[in-house]
Amino acid sequence: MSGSAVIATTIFGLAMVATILIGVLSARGRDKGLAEWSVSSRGLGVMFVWLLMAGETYTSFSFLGTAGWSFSYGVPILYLVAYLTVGLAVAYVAGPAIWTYAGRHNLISIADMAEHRFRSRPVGILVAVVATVFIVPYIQLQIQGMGVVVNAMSYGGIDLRVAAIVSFIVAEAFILVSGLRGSAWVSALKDVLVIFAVVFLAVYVPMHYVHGAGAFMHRLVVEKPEWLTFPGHASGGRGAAWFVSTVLLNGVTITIFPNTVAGYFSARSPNALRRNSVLLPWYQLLLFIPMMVGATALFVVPTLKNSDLALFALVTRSLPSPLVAVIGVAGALSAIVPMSVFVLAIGTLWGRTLLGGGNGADPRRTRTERAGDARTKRLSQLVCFVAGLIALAGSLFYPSALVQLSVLSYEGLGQLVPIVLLALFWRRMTAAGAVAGLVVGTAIMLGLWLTGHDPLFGVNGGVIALVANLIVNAAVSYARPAEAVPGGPAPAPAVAGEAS
Amino acid sequence: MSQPPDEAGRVTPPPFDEFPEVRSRRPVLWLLLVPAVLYCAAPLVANRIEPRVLGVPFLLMWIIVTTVISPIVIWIVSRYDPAYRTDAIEPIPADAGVRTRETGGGAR
Repeated sequence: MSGSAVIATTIFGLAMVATILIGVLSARGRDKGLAEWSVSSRGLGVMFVWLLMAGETYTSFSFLGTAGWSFSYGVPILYLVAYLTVGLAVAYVAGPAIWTYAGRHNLISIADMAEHRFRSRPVGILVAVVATVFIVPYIQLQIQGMGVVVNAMSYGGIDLRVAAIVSFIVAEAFILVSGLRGSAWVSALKDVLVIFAVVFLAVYVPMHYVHGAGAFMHRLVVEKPEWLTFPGHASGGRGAAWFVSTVLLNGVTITIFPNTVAGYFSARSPNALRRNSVLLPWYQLLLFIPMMVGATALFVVPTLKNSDLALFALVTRSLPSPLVAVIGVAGALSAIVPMSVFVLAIGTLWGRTLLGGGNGADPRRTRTERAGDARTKRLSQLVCFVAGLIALAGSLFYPSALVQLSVLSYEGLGQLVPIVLLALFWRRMTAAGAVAGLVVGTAIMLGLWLTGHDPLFGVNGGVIALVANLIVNAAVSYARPAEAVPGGPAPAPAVAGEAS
Repeated sequence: MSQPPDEAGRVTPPPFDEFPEVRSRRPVLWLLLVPAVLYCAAPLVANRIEPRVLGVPFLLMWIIVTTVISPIVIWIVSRYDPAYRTDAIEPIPADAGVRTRETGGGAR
């Protein structure tokens, strides 16, 4: 190892130890129940909800994919800023709505919500399974992203696989002990580093490589105009239709991502979430910086093979190793924080709905089948560990297979929007309608993807599937109204009667 | 940092029943569509490099301006939203008729 690599590796090691300490110590003196672990007892104020949710929008994709897309495609990458902001506008209503429904009925996950809304545990289980299938690849993507970041920042000194294992150990260590509160605290550390790193890059990169931002823009317009309008450079049909459909689909879908929902649940009041929608869009402005860095790489390393390395190629090329290490740690934590919340979300989805016997809303179930709070938490922690382990194994042994699937995460979770979110607003939706819509939508989405028809006529396949999903849902719900379904949308008397 | 979440001892969230409800209509929420409309218009009406604004290509400037306008619009929505002004819970049509938190159906 060279001197720079030793310095960078040492700083990285210290940062990981500090992360575990902050994460583990954050839950000291807290009660040990399921609600505290999974949703921080709904006790986080505006500041921490903000940190947690900001942490999830700035993932390792921001450092790798954002610069990479900007480098290889150009303007199509703007969809990222667009859907995150649109998502926050949707979340102004969706966030408090989900918070209210879950708070009123003591629910802790989207599967828990669906189970309660339709008074049916099978519906809850279906939601949990579909959500898990589309999230595990996303965790793997974060682990692999961390590997790439750490490998680059250590000048190749740390192996990709070692980095993947480190990310798994660090994330699981604090999430198993501290739950969501641990993620919020680690997110605070990460945000400080990310803001520092990104603002530094914004000033340094144009100055050092392209004689200032003005000269850079001019050169981009003269030499690379193709990158500056839709559909971008060799972007594979990412034109106007793709942009509009993807922004709308992702903007709505991100409000029911299990990790976003975990953030909602942690809020102390509905206004903590509404304020979040007011404040968090400002954070998206930071995303323009990795885009600019990626575009700069067009002039500095035009022959770069792996576009994901566009940002780190510039960073390691010119900066002293301690600074490289700090930027690398920011990138690494940007993988660890979302990863920890994703595994927590899966643990929560399974712990109560699948393994813990449900939440008791299903009238066909007797109360005695339900597991106690302590046992449900243990089951959740076990699933949390196993989910992380599966993603780790995937990234070690099948590094490309599941990443293919992660492209489908938004399209797949988008099919859950009617059954989870719309069901709160549309009273006539029945369990049969929601399930039929979900099955048809998911089948169409996977069908389009497997046959290579996504995007279809330039439109995101997930949107086409979602339209079919809604039509089937509405048709079935109207054909067989609620009376035919036991305990339909109206609150079942057996449960409502116990209201205090 | 208006609400330090970690002063000594447990911070318990306010009981659910203490949050008010809103009954009035909230037409101001339609403004929340503004960010989506502006972003989706970008590739349709602003897909060009010229005119450049402060040296920035037009399409890029459109997106940047939208990203700045959006939080301001959402802030305006919150100012005129009766639910925000009272820290009210969100009305849930599926829950119509249920006012109080269930204690029997939840985990305990």
